Amino acid sequence: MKKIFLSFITVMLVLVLAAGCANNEVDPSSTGDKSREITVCENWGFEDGFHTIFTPSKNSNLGLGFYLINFYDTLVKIENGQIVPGLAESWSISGDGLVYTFNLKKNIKFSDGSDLNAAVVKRNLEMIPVILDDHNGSFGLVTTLFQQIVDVDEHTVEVHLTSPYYAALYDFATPMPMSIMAASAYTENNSLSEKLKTATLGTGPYMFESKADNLYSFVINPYYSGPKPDVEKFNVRVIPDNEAKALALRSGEVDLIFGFEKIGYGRFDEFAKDLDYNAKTSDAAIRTRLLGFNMAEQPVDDIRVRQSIAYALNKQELCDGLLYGIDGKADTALSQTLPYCDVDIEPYEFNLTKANSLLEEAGWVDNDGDGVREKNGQKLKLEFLYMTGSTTTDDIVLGIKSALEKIGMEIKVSGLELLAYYAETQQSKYTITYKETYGLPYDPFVFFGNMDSEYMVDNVLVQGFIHMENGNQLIRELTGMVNPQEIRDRYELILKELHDNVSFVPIAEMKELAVYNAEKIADYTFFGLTSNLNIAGIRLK
Amino acid sequence: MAAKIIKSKQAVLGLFIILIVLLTAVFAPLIATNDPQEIDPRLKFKGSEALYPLGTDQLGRCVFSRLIYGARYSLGISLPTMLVVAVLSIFLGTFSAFYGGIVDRVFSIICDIFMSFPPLLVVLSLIGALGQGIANIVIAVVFSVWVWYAKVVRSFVILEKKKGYVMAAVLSGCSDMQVIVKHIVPNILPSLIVYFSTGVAGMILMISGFSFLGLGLESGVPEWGAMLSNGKAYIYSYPNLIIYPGLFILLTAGGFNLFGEALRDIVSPKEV
Repeated sequence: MKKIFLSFITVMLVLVLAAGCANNEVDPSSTGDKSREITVCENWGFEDGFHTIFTPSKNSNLGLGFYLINFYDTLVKIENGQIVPGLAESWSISGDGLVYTFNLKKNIKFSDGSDLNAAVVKRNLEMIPVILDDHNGSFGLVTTLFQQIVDVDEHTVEVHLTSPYYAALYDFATPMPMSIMAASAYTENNSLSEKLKTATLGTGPYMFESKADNLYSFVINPYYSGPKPDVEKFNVRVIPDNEAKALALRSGEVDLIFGFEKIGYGRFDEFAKDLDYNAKTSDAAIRTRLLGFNMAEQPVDDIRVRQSIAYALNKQELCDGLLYGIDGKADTALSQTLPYCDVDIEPYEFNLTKANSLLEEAGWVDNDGDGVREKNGQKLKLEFLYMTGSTTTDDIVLGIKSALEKIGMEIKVSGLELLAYYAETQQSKYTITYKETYGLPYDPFVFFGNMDSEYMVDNVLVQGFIHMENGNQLIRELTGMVNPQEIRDRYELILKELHDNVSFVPIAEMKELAVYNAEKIADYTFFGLTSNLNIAGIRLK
Repeated sequence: MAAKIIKSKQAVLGLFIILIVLLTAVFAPLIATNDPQEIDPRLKFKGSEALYPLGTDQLGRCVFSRLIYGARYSLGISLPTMLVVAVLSIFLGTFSAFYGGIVDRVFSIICDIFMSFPPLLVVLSLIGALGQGIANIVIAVVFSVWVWYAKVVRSFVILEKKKGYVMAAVLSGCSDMQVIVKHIVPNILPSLIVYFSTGVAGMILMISGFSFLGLGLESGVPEWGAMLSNGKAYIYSYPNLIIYPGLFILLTAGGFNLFGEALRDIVSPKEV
C-alpha cells in the first residue's frame, strides 16, 4: 500500500512539473493561413509601445520610426525626393511662407474606428511640441515654429508659423513625430494614452494584434481605405544578432531581412548568389559615406593635403571591390538626387600623380625612403577616427587607410563605440574621420543646419564650413527663404564652397538592402523614405 | 623532470606544437608570402595559388600571411598576460595565505567581489574605458582573471604552511620573507607551473574570443579571433575564412593543453 502511494505521489509530481515547464503561450505565427503571412526580424522589441512621438530621454529606442509607415500616415509624403499627398489630398502655402493650409482626404478612419478630421490633426500637431518637450526640433525644425493650428472646417487645417521655413513640408512628411494618431491616443492631461502600449491607432494598412515571447504580430487594419496589401499579417521576430538573422532566413524562420545594418554587405552578396533568395537594393541613395576633417589640425589644415586625399582614393574600385558594387561612387557630400542638391561640380577623380604632386607642393617629401613623407622633421601622420559596429565600415576604413598609405601617409586608425566617437569628435580629437550623412528626410536640411558652429550639434559638419567667415549667417538666412530660386542659389553657393574647399571627401552613396525568401516573396518595393520597412510594398507569390 | 617530459608522448607532442607555433611567430616575416595588412580590393576572395597559398579574404589580403602573423598576436598577448597574472597572483595569494587573519579575510572579501563579476563584463567595461590597444587588452584581462589564479595560489600556500618543514624554518629563525621565498614558493612552484601552463590555452581562447567580439585590437590586425569574426559573414560562400583561423586556434590551445596536462601527470603523485 505504501509503495502504491509513493508511486502515485511520484507520478503526480512529475505531471505537475511537466505542466509547469510547458509553454502555454501560442505562437501566433503557428496558427492561421500562412500563405498571406510573413515574418521579418528586428534587433529589438517594441517595449515602448506604438506611439509616434518618441524622445531619447523617455524612450529606450527610437527604432519604431522605421515601422511607423505601416500603421500611420503623415499629412504629406516623400516620393522620389518630391512631396506627394498623404492624409492631405492638397495643400497650399501663403506667399509669405507663414501659413500652410492642408485639405484632408475624406472618409478616412483610424484603426479604432474613429474619423480623421481637422480637429484630430490639430490635436496631434499641438501635442507634438508638448510631448517632445526639450527635444522639440530634434526631428525637424517646423514644430518649433508652430504659432497656431486652426481647424478651419472639418477637413481643412491651417498651420501658422512664427517664421517661414523652406523645408517645412519635408518635416511634415517625417513619420516620427509627424504621423497622425487617433484622438484616443492622447489623454485629457495632454500626455500619451496607455492604450498605445498595446495598440496602434493610425490610418495605415496594418495594426498591432498580439505579442508572444519575441514575436510581435500585426494584421490588416479593417478601416484602411487604400488598396488591400498582399500581406494580410506580418510578424516581427526579435533576433538581436545578425548572424542569427541570416540563419533564421535560411531555416525559414523569417522571410525577409530588411536594412543594410541588419544584413551587412558581405552577407547580402552571399544571399544574392543563392537562387533560393532574392537580394534587392534600393534605386535611391540613402546616405553618403564621406571623410571629414579637423580643420584646426595639421596637416589637413592645408587644402593641398585634403585635395591629395581626394585624388588618392579610387572610389570606383572601393565601391566595386569592398562594397560589392552595391554602393555607387559619390562625387558630392550630399547626393545630387536630394532636394536642391543637383549642382554642377567637377569631381576629384582618382589621380595618384596629382595626389603625390600636391603633397610635394605642400612640402611633404619622403627623404628617408621609409614610405612616409616628412616636413620639418615631422612625419605625415594622421589620426583616423571612426565609429565601430559595422564590418562594412571596418572594411572601407581599412581600404581608405591602405590607399592613403600609398601616397606616403602614416594612418593610425582608431575605432570607437558610438558615444565615445561622438565625445571625441565633438572635442576635435581627430585628424580625419569617416562619417555617413543622415539620409532623407534629414538630408540636406538638417545636414546644413548642423554646419552652424554656434549650435555645435555635429562638429564634423561644423568643421566643413568653419572657414567661411559668414558661414552661420548663410545657413540661417537659408532657413527663412521662401523664393525657390533664391533657395537653389544659396544651395549652389554652399555646396560649391564645400566642394572647392574639400571640406568633405565623398566616397560612396549607400543603398538600402532587402533579402527575402524567393519561394514566398515575389518582390519588394521600397518606400519613398527608403529606410522605412514597407510591408504593403511586398508582393507575395 | 626533463627526462620524464621526454618519456611522455603527450608532453612531447604538446611541446612540439608549441615550438612550431613559437617558431612561426618568431620567423613570421620569413615565412609569410605577403604583407598581412596589404589590401587590394581587386584580389578579394582569390583561390589558392603560389603567392597566396590559402587564397585571399574579402579585402584581398593574403590569408596564409595573416595566419602566420596571427601567431605573434596570439602568443604575444596571451603569454605576457599569463606571466603578469602569475606574478600578481603568486605575490598576493602567498602573502595573504601566509599572514592569515585580517589580511587574509580582507583579501578573501576582495576576491569574492572580483569573482562576482563575469570576466567578460569586466573586460568589456575596461576596454570601453581604456580604449583599443594591445596594452589595454592585457590590463583588462589581467584585471578580470587574476583573482581566480590568486585564490588557487592561496589554497596551495594554506596547505603548505602547515607542513613540518615550514614550522622548522620558522623555529630556526628564518624571517617571513625567507620562509616565503626560500621555502614555500619553491615547494609549490612545480604545481603552479602546471596550473599556469594549462591556463595559457584558456588565455589564448579568451584573447581570441575578445577579438572575435571586436574588443581590444584595432581593426585589420591579423589576430586569429578577429579573422574568425571577419570570416563569419562568408560562412556559406567562403568557409575557409573561418576554418583556417579556427584550426590555428585549436592547434595552439591544444598544444598548450596537451603539454600542461602531461606536466600535471608528471608532477602529481601517482595514484596507488
